[in-house]
Amino acid sequence: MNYSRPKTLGEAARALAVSGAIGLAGGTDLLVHLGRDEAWPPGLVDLKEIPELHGIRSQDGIIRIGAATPLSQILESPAIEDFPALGQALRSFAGRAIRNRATLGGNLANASPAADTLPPLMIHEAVCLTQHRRIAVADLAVAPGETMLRPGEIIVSVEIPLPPKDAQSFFVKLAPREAMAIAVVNLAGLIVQSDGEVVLARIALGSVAPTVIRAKEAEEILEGHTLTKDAISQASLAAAEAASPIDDIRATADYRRRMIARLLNWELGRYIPNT
Amino acid sequence: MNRKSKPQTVGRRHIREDAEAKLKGRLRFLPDLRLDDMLHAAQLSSPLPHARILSLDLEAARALPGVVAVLGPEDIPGENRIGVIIDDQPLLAQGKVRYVGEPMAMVAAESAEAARAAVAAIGFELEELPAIFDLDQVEAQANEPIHEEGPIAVHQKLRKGSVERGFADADVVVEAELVTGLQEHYYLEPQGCIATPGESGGLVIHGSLQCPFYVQRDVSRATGLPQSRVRVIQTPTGGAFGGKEDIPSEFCARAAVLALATGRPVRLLLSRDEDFLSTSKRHPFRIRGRLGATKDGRFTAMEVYQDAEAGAYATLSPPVIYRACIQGAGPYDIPNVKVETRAWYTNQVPNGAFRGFGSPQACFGHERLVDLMAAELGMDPVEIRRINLLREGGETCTGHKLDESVGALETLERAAEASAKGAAEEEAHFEDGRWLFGTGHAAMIYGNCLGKAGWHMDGAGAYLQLHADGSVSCATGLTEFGQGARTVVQQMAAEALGIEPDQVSLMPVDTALVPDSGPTVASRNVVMSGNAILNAAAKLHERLAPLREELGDVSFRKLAGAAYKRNVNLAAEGWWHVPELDFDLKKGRGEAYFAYSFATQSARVAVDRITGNVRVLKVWAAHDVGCAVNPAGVEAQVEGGVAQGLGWALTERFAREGGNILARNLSTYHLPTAIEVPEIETIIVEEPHSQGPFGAKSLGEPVIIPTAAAIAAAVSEAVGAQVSEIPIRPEHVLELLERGGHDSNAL
Ligand SMILES: Cc1cc2nc3c(=O)[nH]c(=O)nc-3n(C[C@H](O)[C@H](O)[C@H](O)COP(=O)(O)OP(=O)(O)OC[C@H]3O[C@@H](n4cnc5c(N)ncnc54)[C@H](O)[C@@H]3O)c2cc1C
Repeated sequence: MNYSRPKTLGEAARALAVSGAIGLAGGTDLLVHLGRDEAWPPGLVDLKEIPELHGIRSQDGIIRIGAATPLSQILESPAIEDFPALGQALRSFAGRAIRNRATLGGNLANASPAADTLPPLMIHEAVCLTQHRRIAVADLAVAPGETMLRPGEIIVSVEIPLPPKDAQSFFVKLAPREAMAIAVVNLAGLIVQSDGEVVLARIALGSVAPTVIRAKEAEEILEGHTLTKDAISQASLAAAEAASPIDDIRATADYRRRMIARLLNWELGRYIPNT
Repeated sequence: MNRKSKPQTVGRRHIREDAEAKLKGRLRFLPDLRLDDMLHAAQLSSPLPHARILSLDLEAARALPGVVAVLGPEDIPGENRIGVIIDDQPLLAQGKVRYVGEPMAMVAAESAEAARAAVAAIGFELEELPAIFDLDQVEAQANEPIHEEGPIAVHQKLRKGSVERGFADADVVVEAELVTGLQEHYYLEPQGCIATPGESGGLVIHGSLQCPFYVQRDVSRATGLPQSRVRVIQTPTGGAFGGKEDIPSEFCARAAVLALATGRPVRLLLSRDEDFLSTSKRHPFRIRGRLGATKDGRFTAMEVYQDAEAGAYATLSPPVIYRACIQGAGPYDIPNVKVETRAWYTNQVPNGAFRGFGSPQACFGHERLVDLMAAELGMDPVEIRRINLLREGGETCTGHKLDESVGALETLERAAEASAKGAAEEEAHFEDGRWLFGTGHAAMIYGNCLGKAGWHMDGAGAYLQLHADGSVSCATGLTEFGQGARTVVQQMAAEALGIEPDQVSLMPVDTALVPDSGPTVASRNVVMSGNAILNAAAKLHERLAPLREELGDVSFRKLAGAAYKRNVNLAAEGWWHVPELDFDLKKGRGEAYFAYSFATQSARVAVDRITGNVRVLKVWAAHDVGCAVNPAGVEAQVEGGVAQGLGWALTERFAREGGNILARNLSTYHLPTAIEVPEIETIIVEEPHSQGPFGAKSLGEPVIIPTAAAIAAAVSEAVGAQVSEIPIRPEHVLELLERGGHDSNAL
């Protein structure tokens, strides 16, 4: 096996052009499988020394996070304060040791339906930048473990637009234990209320469909109306309806569906205006 | 015996003698050991749960590069049998396979890769047979029995008084059907051993193990070598919890056969996945029980039926079943008791020894019944236990009258008092309206050492060599695998001689150096080693007595020096065995064990009404240990046991599908992390036993026994309905919330 550590995007793309070569970031997904239930690839291309893939920059209402930035570094950045849901997702992500290695690019490219950063990135309508194009985070994963990235295409950074000032957002992760666990259900929501009316609602659901999904019907139920208990329970049920969970080793499909409704109902309930 | 009236060392907090080497990573475990010319072993495992073996073709594998030996059942020089008690298990499957993962053939090769390649090249044909996967199906075994002898591996009964009469005398009778789940030991170090041909035609075995003398016997049996030619050296052992009681014997025996066949050292090391998929677990239990009581809460009768899943072979089901049965009705003085315990064969990995030997399951059974009764009578769960717990002069459920060392009531009072304060500080952080809180209690009885059923191997020895400078070398045959046992043994030896612990050196456990002291199980190390040491020390004191008289008040060092110069025999051998027990095994009547430990644990939990998740906020663990030889060690044992019990109660959901185990490592088998394990307050109760060294009784297993039952009680109190199964799944909690009228009413 050939291991390389390119310093530029161009070199990396060339190294990845070799058939079967795989990009390596933190390795917390990749190295768990290689040599165990998957064979070692002919080439391993370490992406961590490419400068464009590092750093967190804020500009023109957009924050840009290098794809190979370790999650713990993102958590420590002041920029995260504008994205409480993402902060919450990062805090509930694995444990400190894994967060020191794992990257945002890896979490996106790995395309797990349970990936914890996806629901918060999706409620902010974040976009990934590759060498060639911009891809909405929501469009990146096409099936469990599969993305629309082409061979040799590298996620360079992720852009997250700053939410409206009065936006309220949340992230909840339900897992078999409080740390070092893959979600049974993870979900994120963002709402903006103005003059007693919801003007913007976004809800993203993880672990309950082949890819992380937006619950558009639920969002539509909320938008344009006052946030009431009734509206919230309708929206929560609609979100549960949008999911297509499966039974697996962690939980049953039925439990997952119920949890979407119940957790959303509880979380959204916090934002009912005091009358 | 010349013992100071007030112990100097026993009872003081001691740092573990192995702590520094472990913390600094200096201890060398089995995988760190590499012998010259060492071969690597691998095993062919059955892919089917139940099948006839039609053919096994080893030739293609033998022809591969780097392969030195490929052996099938016919190639075993001795007997193709293993098993401590019931002779139903082959070393390599012959005729039939009975579980997924059962070894059928084995390979020794120059590298682990070559060994794996050879295993893949072994040809075989299997004819699949109908299989039995769990307790729901066991009665159906008549069609295609797993073993000719019938579906039941072990059956134990206990009878006291007449339950018919007892229930007739009762004002209230409650009944329950309860279920407990499987549990994986998850010792940090997977199974591993190295067998090396010795100079004189014998074998040296190094292994991560609990019971070197079991290994010696099974290696001897498989190889045909006399036991004296098999030397077993325990390597520092990274956890065991019962999982390295009998299991290492089979790996060591296979490695031994390969070593003899090749004339080279052979290492057999399991990966975490292999270990998880193919080694023993805690028996799952189905329990049906009835409890009768008078209006004022006095128990009149308890009747318990326990069905346990043995898996494909009996292995250690007999002691698990014995203990579960004897302790099946708990630490209560009940005039009429009936317990009936059976272990059933299934086509699963054999279930075996696991901390508690059936006691945590039994405890879940009797404690759930007691809580049900308290609820039915509208009585405080502490009060109902107070009324019925054993006291001095009382009779256990086997009719054993207890004249001493019954700390049951004190553990209850202390745990109840401490837990009454709750965990208010924590609870302040929980969101209003979402969480329900509850406290639960569970009491247990634990028969010390092996009891009547294992009495024939319940003896232990110790060698003490007093040196001319007053220091001592001490050899005992029981092992350390993380319990902190060596530190306690060192303390007891020091105390017995009146010297400081740092003057005592413990020999490594090597069958060539230490006396056969039976298995290191049943929480017997302190009691057995301690008594054997006291016996040896008494001999030394006796030999030193004339000199002591002559020299007057001199230091022990001077005394030893003088004795040395006079050719006094300074090497003493000690022995102790459990006193004879008057017990009827058929009826389960009489003195089941020579002494009993008692405990009560209380747990405080928060239950999430939205998700059904349970968080344990605090556990108070009051244990009657007779004498806390090392209080720091007691705390460490309690904390470890409670954490393990918490996992069994809540997070460790063991997933199987047919004969396949689905969870196989920490990503899918959820051990509790430091976040799930709450503050644990250890409360030490000391009701000394006259036969225990310094009064000490067993502790290693009691620490896990009541935890799950206490958590289940706490959850039941919180949700207003009784938990009937563990692990307590969130789905089950949601049902209970609904039943208790505490559902969040939210969708
Ligand atoms: C113990 C443990 C706990 C975990 N807990 C969680 C958890 O709580 N939540 C969660 O969501 N995940 C969890 N994971 C999964 C994993 O840590 C995350 O998915 C992580 O974000 C992957 O990032 P990485 O940098 O390690 O990716 P790697 O393993 O290096 O790569 C993963 C995949 O992404 C590709 N890739 C990496 N970077 C790029 C890039 N810039 N452009 C294109 N492709 C790229 C790789 O080629 C590979 O196919 C856990 C993993 C472990 C081992």
